[in-house]
Amino acid sequence: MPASLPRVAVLVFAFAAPVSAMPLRLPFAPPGAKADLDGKLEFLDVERTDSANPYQNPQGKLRLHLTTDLSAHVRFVGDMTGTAGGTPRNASGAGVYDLGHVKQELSPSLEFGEAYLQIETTRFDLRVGLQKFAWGTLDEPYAAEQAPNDLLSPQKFYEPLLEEENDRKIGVPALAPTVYLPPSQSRYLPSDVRLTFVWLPVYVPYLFPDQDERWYPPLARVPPESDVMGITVENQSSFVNAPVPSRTLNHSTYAARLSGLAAGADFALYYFDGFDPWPSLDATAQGFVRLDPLSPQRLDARSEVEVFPVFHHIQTVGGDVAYRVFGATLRLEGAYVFDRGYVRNLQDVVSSEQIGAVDPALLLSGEEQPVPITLSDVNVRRDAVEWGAGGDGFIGGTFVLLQMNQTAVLRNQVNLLISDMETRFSTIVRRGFLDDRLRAELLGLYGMQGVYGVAHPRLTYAVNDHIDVRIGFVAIAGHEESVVGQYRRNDEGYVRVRFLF
Amino acid sequence: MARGILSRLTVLTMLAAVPAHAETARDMLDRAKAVNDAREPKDTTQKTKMTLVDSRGGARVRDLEMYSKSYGHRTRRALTFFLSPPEVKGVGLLSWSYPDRDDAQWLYLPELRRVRQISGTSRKQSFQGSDFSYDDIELLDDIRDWTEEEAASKLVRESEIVDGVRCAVIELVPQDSTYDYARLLLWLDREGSTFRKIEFYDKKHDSLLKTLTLGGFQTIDGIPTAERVEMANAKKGTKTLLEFSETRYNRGLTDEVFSERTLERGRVD
Repeated sequence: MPASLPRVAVLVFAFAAPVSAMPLRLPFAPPGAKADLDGKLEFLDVERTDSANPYQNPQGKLRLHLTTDLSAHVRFVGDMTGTAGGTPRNASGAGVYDLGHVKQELSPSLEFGEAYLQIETTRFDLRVGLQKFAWGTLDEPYAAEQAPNDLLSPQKFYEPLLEEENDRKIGVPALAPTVYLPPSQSRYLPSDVRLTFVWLPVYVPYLFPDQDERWYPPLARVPPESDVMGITVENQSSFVNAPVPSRTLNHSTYAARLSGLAAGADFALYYFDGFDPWPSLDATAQGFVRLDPLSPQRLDARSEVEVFPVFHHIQTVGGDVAYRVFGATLRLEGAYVFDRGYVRNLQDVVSSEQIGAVDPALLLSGEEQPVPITLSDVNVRRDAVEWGAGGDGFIGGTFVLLQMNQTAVLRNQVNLLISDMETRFSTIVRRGFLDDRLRAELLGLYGMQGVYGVAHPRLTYAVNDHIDVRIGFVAIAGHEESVVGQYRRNDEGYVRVRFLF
Repeated sequence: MARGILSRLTVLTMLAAVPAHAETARDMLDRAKAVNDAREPKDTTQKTKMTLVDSRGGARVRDLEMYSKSYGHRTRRALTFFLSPPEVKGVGLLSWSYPDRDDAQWLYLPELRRVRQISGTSRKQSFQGSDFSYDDIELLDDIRDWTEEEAASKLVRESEIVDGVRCAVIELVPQDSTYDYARLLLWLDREGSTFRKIEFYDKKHDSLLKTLTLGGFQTIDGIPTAERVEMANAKKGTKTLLEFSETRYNRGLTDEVFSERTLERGRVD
């Protein structure tokens, strides 16, 4: 319970304090190996402003991060997070997140974020194992603002506004060699050029909340009733898992990044060929009809709708550049996406469903009879251009970031959850006080189409070098049929206490 | 973040070698610059413990590991990794400093192994909550290169004992109006050939604002080096103590050490 959090925090801090002795001796490590263990213990309590919306349990999270230098050229990195409470409403119990399901309602849960070996030589690095990637130059303050080329690590969408980027990302098994080109002797050629290939042998899906959770998208909820061909249909729906793409080599993901420094500008070029880490949903429905025995002219109809994730193979080519000018850093990033799946408003889909024929003789029996229901396509495949531009710098001691992201869905004629030209502006304003012990921030997001916005002020106070306390408020506004505005009843205040070691 | 802060302070800690005889303040400063330029190492490696003490005596500690390389004429590259506290552990900062344009800086965030080119901070802003502003760091780096046109000098006292060492006291009045300081007083050890103390006086009231004290001098690879630097803020009652250790000069650090590649790896080979 929230009231007991401070007491629990004190107890756990006291327990965890001895862990903060950083250097370790590991029994499996060779002589001379150096190991560092660090991590965090975090408590989050979210208070909703609308009691009709799903409740969120207080959450405790313990993250451990181990770095072991096995030699001057070989390093092992491991990272695991245990979480209790949070957004799940009807968790199936304790468990370990697997890499094969979108819907996993676990509490308490254990997540292995990273476990990889890094081998370094002068001109070649290799990382092999479970790892997270963060490509692209644009900022990603929220889950919805993923950089166009940041496609290798899927995300958890349980807590899209409050969870930090690293916690949102899911580790994927990967083989990632990097080749460093020798320094060029010509000042006309780029320097610090490196080429990274990534091979993900299996697809790891994103994690998505269940229908009863706080951040399940309302537009992906089926309305309780719909009118089909003049008949009122009562709808029941569920969100279920679907098989991920089979773990064969032809379902592997391949990606490459060529990056360097030219004329003071950081640049990178990207290629991605694999399954889309972005959520995409589909639905099937089964209908049932019955003649009302008391009023035979009346037909009782109901449907059972199953919403499930679908996985699309996409390709992207893109690039980014970051350059300092007039005391600010400007960032530009874009990608052309081939064949991404975009989701339609599920309420539109259900309202246009078609009920199949039923044998009148069977209906006369008075028994409920199944009837096929045909839904129009829930998601459609479209090419798109994702791009964004931003700048950040200091104005009189205050850090200011402004960024614009735009998604242009090409050759589209149907009504999607996002607009064909979706433009979003985001900002971060940050200033330190009390010798940087107190940090005041305002995060904002504004969407031009559908008109929506998020205002997220927060204060973080560092009690000491190990403990900080954050309080904040998230206010969401906008049209209920927009990507973000659909969450407009999810305004919330929160308190986070963090112990770093 | 830093504009190669530690490398710049290191330069200050090495200010060196002037003979003791009747000279003007400008003579002393020019000689110090000449000797120091000749001794300036090509590269430096060191660890730094930065202790921030607030007005109530509470202390916060930051540990850093720093690599720097000089390319002459106030052109320098520096790489800093934060070792503690936990919030910034593993964070790396790469700075390329130039005399005639803004520094180029890259920040490495270890959690996601992401390197980002970043913009410089406000010159008046504190470095990591310390008593050093970025302006101070730039100023300390520039002192030895100042000409008489850039800062008028005056010999205030020929001899004053500081930390058991006989020093000349020199007043400098920087002409750059963007500095917060009306004047500085430097204590130059005429026999040991090092700076021992600097006082910073504010513009408004010409009152003492900050005092920088250098101590714990050791000769490392032939270069006199202060292993302890303290900046005390007289108005706020705070102070910042920098303790340098494992200092090594002229290791032959290559240009590739000061690259995004090294930042991405999160360590120097």
